[in-house]
Amino acid sequence: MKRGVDWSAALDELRLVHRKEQAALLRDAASIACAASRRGDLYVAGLPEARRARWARACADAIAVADADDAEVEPMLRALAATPETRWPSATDIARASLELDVCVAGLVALARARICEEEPGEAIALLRELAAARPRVAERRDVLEALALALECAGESDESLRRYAAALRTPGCEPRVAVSMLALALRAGNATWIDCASRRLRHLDLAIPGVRARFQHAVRRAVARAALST
Amino acid sequence: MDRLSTAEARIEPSWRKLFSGTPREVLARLVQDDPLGVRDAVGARLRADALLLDADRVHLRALARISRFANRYRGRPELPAWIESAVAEATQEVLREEHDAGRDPASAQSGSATVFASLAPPLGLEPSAVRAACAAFNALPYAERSTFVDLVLRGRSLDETARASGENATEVARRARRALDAILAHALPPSGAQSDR
Repeated sequence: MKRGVDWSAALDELRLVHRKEQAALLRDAASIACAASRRGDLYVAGLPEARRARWARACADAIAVADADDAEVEPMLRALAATPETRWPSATDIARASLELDVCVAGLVALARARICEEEPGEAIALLRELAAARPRVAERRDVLEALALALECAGESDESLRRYAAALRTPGCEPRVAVSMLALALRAGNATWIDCASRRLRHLDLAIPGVRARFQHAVRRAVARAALST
Repeated sequence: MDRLSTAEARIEPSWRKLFSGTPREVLARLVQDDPLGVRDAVGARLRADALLLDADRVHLRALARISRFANRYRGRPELPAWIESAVAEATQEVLREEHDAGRDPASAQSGSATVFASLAPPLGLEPSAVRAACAAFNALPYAERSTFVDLVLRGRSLDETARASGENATEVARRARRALDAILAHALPPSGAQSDR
């Protein structure tokens, strides 16, 4: 005997799925907008290239199916899909539009990253500290701590930045780029304990794995550029 | 998995028809008789991960996700694996939402809390407290969750659970205790509030 499904509840859920998909696309768009600025490129962990390349197609698909379902489409998403990136609104505006659709940790991190790229690291730090204190789930904790460490580095608060990098490294699944960032900052700060902590994480990095070398080199280039900017 | 295999044998040749049209049209087909066995897949996922979640809500989310992304399915991976990944995504989304609701008492009292509204009164608890307790439980490491589920919800003996996990009984009991503490810390009002009554 199968239990029936309430059709109106199922439709509500489908609308929610449309909304969440659009929110995720807006978060990705905010990340793309961040990467277009000098500070964003250096202090914001960017969208992976593959997702960036797929963004326009995914966006067109999301809009088409939402229209077909008579579901609402966030006007900013429609506008972004029809506008060259160079004429997009600020990353902060895009991140806020995403939060209008779905208030979640990823959305708040996107907003904080946008504030860093728009030279308001203080606001980003306050928001990210609050998120970190609220004990997010592991996958989100990684992003929160990395974004916070970068924001603190951007604001010149090296000691706390290093502590946050170290906390991010202790989170399962943390990317090697975090260890690169931490090592670069620890070397600049001359802190032997943190140098050791970061280098231990990199010791077993296998550059022969496809893609690892390119990501490692990219992380090094960004860390070097940040160091040049801060001196 | 058996249910999915049966479903696959029955409907695989016609998945194109099942997945054709708008997401809303796909959903209308999926809610009738559950041709893909999504409800069973949700039950299996929640049991395997030892999660205390509203299965109806995860089921609805999985149906909605499958309907939405059906237009991207091209026959690979195999249908049961694709459905399982949709169920896993739906589970993760609901877990995230419950985790956030567990931190925010205002949102814990709103939204889709129907299962907690029916579960809480017989226990003499507030629905929002039960919801927060489940969220706290779901945030625990898998070993603690599964031990608690085996011992308390499935009623297996301590020795049996210890044998199955390959751990000693003391460690198993400690794990279950940590899970119980996490639940009680959120389900029961603070002791000060109790003594005020």
